Amino acid sequence: MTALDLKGLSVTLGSRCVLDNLSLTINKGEIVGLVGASGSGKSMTARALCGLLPTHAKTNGTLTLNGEPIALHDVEAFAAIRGRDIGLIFQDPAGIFNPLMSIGDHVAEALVRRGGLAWTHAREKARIALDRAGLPNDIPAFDRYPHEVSGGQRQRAMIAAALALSPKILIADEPTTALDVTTETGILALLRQCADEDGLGILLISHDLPILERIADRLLLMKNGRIVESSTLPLSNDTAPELARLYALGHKASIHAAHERRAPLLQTKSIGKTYSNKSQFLLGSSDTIHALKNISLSLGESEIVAVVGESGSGKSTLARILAGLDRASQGEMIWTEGKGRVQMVFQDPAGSLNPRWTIGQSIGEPLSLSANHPRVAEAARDAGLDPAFLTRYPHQISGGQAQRAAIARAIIRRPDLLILDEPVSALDFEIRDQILSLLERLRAMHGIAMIFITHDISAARRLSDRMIVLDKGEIVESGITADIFSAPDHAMTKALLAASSSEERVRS
Amino acid sequence: MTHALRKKIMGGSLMLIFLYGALAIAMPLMESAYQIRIDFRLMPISSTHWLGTDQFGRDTFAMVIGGCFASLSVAAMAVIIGAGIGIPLGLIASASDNILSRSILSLNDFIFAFPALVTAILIHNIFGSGIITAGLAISIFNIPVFARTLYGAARPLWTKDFIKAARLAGKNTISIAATHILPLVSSVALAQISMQMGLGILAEAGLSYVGLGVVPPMPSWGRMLNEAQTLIVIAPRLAIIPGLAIAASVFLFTWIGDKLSDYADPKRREGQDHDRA
Repeated sequence: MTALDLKGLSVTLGSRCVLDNLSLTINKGEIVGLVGASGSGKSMTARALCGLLPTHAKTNGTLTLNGEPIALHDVEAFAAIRGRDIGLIFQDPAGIFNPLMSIGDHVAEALVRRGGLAWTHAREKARIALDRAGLPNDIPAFDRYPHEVSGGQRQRAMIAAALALSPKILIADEPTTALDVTTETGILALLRQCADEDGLGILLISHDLPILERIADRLLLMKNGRIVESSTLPLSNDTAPELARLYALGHKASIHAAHERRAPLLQTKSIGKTYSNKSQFLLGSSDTIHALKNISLSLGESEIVAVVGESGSGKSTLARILAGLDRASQGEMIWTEGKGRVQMVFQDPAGSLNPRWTIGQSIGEPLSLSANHPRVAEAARDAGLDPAFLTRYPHQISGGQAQRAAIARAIIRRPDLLILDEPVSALDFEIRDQILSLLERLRAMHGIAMIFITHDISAARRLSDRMIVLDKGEIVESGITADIFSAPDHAMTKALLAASSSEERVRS
Repeated sequence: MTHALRKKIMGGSLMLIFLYGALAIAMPLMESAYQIRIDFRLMPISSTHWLGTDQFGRDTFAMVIGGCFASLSVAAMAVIIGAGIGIPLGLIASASDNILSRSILSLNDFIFAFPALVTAILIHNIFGSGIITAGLAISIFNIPVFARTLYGAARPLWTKDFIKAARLAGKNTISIAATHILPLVSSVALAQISMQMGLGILAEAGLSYVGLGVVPPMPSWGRMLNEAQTLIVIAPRLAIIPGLAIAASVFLFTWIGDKLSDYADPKRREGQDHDRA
């Protein structure tokens, strides 16, 4: 049965047409995946379905919800059904929660405001809702405040709040983008369960095709405000060539041989990092936190080693120590004589460039070169960035271009080692592929060794020769990437691999 | 308000500030106009005395114009000393979390803890009255204001990735502060300078009112208020006119400071960030 039927939706903002003749249906118990690059209109579609379009937007089209038509510009009609008939969850749960309200009260508030229950009754029902969303009572999540629970638990709480009033439709806009792969699997399983058991129709929006591929019943591809392809799963080249091509991008295997002997570049001997946590003021009971324990690794010239692990596993601490931005508490680092120039590429491309500097100024910084020096243009070209962008400012270029600029700045001094801290996780699917190709090419061209820090296993598989798995600050597994993929040993490795393997469909 | 109109208002205010400056510099030329001439006491508004005269026969218009000098010079001195010491201190404190930065911040809190007037009386007792004393007293309180503001603006910048990249590029803390941090906080500093000018004018008037400011015969808006208070029933204009002069200049400087801090926030800046590629 059709739960939501949208026909011919067009949205214009000023003179710009952001959504163009968009039609989609969601059946009961069905998960529809909506994929597209950023700016393709995914989030605008979500906002239109909830009546949250900007007030100056001009809309056209018809929306039928559970057989009843709703005028797309009728703010009051939407206010009545939002939350009750149509639920909404977002990417960043931290920004949604009121820091002064407990998790349980957030869920209860939905029941009080929209469901008209009294607070005591609402709290009881909220407990049940949280329990269903996988926040059982033995972890007292109900009375905790948003900052006291993990990102995954916050996302579960937001789902609980959205589903407390048992809506028929749930719009989920990038619900797992900010989460770990293992946490992500749990959230996806929860969504699948809600669809299967309650007949909830879900529109799952993501820029990450493999995630959708694991859970959705149907996929829609959006481009420039239009749905250009629609396909049931599994994807085939005949019915959905573009989706199939994008999917293949995410699963490109490593193209290089990993076994050749390399001259050593860097060795670390039992590196550790401890922080003392002076939480009790004046009472002096400080506990020591081991961010890293006993990390010994060796790196050959022009070798790419991936460091994978969940967030909090110590990946970024290791990156900072190897880059020399932070000092190890124990152990030592030994560089091969005459080597040791390290540069780094960061996760957030926008934040890694000074907003008041032109791209050319930023790229020239390591060599104190002016923006119009030929070497700056050369580095930009090496990183696949058109030198025409050198006079622009960071806010005037896209995320992918900014990341290319950051890479250009990192390679201009020909480093021996390039540390990549989640360099592609903030990028769109296609851009991610281009940046990974660029890194492969840079290694081949300049013989730069790289440490590739990531939680994205498929990217690690594609780029790295060897892989190190970190868990709670310790190396739990290391070896040649292909070997680890074929025969993972440690439980954490298996969990990370399972979470990212898209052959396995999420089941409730 | 449209962007063009804002620009016009901004330009107009800056011109007014230049006018203030010009009046302050022209002050010595007016000296003869505010000579004490008892025979002309408490004259009403007329074509020879545009704003009348006070109980000593001094021309009120000339006094108000002459008062610009005391106001502006004390406020400017307080801002130059305050910003000159406070801004570097704030930047140093923001650069790291060590003994030095913590002592700077504690010293700030220490100065904040003293009532400004008590310190002004203390300085007055040591150095006597005068324009320098007044400026010095206000500038002591400007130092922590600038240090705090700059510390707050610069602190989050130090954790940005482009600062890490600059470190990896081989730059030391001082050159990072000069090339990255200072340009990014300069608009904040500029806004604070303008606001402290306004507050400095107010503080000078306050000190002169209680007799801790500039000494006669140099005219001062604060002292004009003081001298007018016994005549408030007979000649209320003597209090209203310097009061308006103080209010107008404080408003002008704080308003410009407010606009400058808007400009410092790229999200509130108009017509700047829409030209995405």
